[in-house]
Amino acid sequence: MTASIIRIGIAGVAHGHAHSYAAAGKVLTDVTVSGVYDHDEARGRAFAAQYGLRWFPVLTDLLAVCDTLMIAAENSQHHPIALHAAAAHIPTLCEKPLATTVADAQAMVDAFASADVALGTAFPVRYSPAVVRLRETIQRGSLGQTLMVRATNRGTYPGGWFGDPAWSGGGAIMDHTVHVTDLVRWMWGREVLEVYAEGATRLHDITVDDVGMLLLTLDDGMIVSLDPSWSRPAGVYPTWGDVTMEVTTVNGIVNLDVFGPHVDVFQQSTRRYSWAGHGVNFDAAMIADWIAAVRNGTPPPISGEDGLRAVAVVDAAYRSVISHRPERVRTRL
Amino acid sequence: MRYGIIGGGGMAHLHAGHVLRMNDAQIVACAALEFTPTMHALANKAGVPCLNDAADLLARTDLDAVIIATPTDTHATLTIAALQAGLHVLVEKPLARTVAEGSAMLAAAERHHKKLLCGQVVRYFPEYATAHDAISAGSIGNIGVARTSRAGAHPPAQSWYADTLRSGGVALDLLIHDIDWLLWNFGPVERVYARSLTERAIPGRDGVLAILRFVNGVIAHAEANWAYPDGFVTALEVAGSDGIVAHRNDGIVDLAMRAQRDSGAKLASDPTAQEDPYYAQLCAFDGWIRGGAAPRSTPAASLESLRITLAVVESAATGAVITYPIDGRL
Repeated sequence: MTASIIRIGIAGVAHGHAHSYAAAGKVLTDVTVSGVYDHDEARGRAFAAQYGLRWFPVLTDLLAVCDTLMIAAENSQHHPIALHAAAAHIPTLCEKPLATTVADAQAMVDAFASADVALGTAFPVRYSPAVVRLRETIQRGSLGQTLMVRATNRGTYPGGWFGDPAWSGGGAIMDHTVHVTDLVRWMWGREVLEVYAEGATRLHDITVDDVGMLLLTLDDGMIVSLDPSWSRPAGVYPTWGDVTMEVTTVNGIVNLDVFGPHVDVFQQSTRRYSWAGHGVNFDAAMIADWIAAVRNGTPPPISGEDGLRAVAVVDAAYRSVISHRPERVRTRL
Repeated sequence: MRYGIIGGGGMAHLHAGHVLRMNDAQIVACAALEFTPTMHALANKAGVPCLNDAADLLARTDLDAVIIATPTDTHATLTIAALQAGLHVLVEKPLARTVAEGSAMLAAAERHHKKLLCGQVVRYFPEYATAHDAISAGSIGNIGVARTSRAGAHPPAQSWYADTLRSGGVALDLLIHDIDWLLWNFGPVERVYARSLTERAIPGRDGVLAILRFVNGVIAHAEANWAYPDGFVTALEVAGSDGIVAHRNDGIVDLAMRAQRDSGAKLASDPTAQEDPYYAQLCAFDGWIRGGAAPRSTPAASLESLRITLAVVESAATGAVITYPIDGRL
């Protein structure tokens, strides 16, 4: 890629990250946003108007005027949009989960590979300074062998299309398994071998799972538990949710709380207690890193393969929920 | 009430101290193969003999009840002998080393018409009891997911706790507390799956992560950790359709101090001793013997806590999911 100005196209605004992508045009130098596509005209137009962008009713028209595509559509729409982008040879950063099935995710990875175009997965938590420090600490070796990890990625039920399996492909397990899975793979450089999971709909009047619990076994024997539940009560809990880990190693215990840095805010008018975070903006760091890779023609910082591996863990988790047995992670069907 | 104490270690010392604080209660004799210096000092102070054979204690005719705080693999034999001798028994947790032993203990209590209480003391910890009450009262609606953690340092290698054959390891020492509390809240378990560090036999490090599915649908995650360098941390969180109940033991309660090293600074002692969970449990046992209300744990509940904890151990050892057939349920 040799263009001095990188033109971003935003495909789908269903996910909140679309706002970060729209803001990137203002924050980053030599970056502009060409426009926004969404299958929902009202939503697409409203978003375009909010950021002074052009709305494209046809995806291929947007692909014709951008250097990179940011997919922030509903989960089930990632796959069809990405295949268009691969055909148009547009480097694409896709929202997590990469797809709702291993087959779709694999097809995306294959399409970009055969087009020789970059596919990236949006895992912004890798840009948390605490995550980076923990990874460095692990790799330097002073902790000794890691034995087990107790992780959470709990949240508030996001509502809307997240509760509709046709759009989301699944519930809390689909939404919140991939971040921690990716962190574990990246920090320890191991793959997940096997998954046991429980999942159920217990807290909300929806048809997808809203609570779950996973136990992952890695290929070096390390064990990781993960709570992906949408268990934070909306409007009452002081923040949207969390990403935490307690890491037990031979030489000690390390606690990670990605969204820990905050001040307490007590507000009379809303009768709300909330956290005002003061950590760094991971989204901005992730977008800047992606744009640099597009500009320099270097491999994606977080690949489509990374996205696929995380989807494969989700797939094993849902199989386990049904079979009541630990299930092997399969990336090729 | 005339108590005998069997056991010479830290837990025996703790229970004996509480007996001495109760009204209308006395210690008549202590028995253990080995006494810690503090336990010896306490017995001397109380003016009671330290016997080196539990049989000599059980042969006495001036006892009403015994507290058994010995290594886990001795609970069954000592408890059954005490019940046979016509004594009420408060036995430390876990109830026994195996389900068969535990079942024999319950049968002996029935046969000899004596009271048996297993010290699943978490039911008397104010935070855990308050959380239980809030959940039972429907404060957070229908329960979806529960999490518990219990973490501390590995016992010394030469201690009986470190001998899995005797103690049952980290699961029977720590995890059983939380499993007992979860069962108290959510009823019978349908499925258990767990992974542990035990099989890897890393000296001085152990831990277990378990997922429990209850018959009522609740999903729980229970963790026990024997790999902390020091300290003791417990945590619980239960999420329902109308909110969350949560507690951690590492926050300030009502009074805390950071003393300068070697300054000798010391907080005044807490006169509200009835708040101590072990004391509250002992008072419940004592009152029960005198005809009062039953304690928060029944022997059957303690046996169930043992059974589920051993299922966790079995799942972790074999990699199998342990499923319980439930009558009247598909």
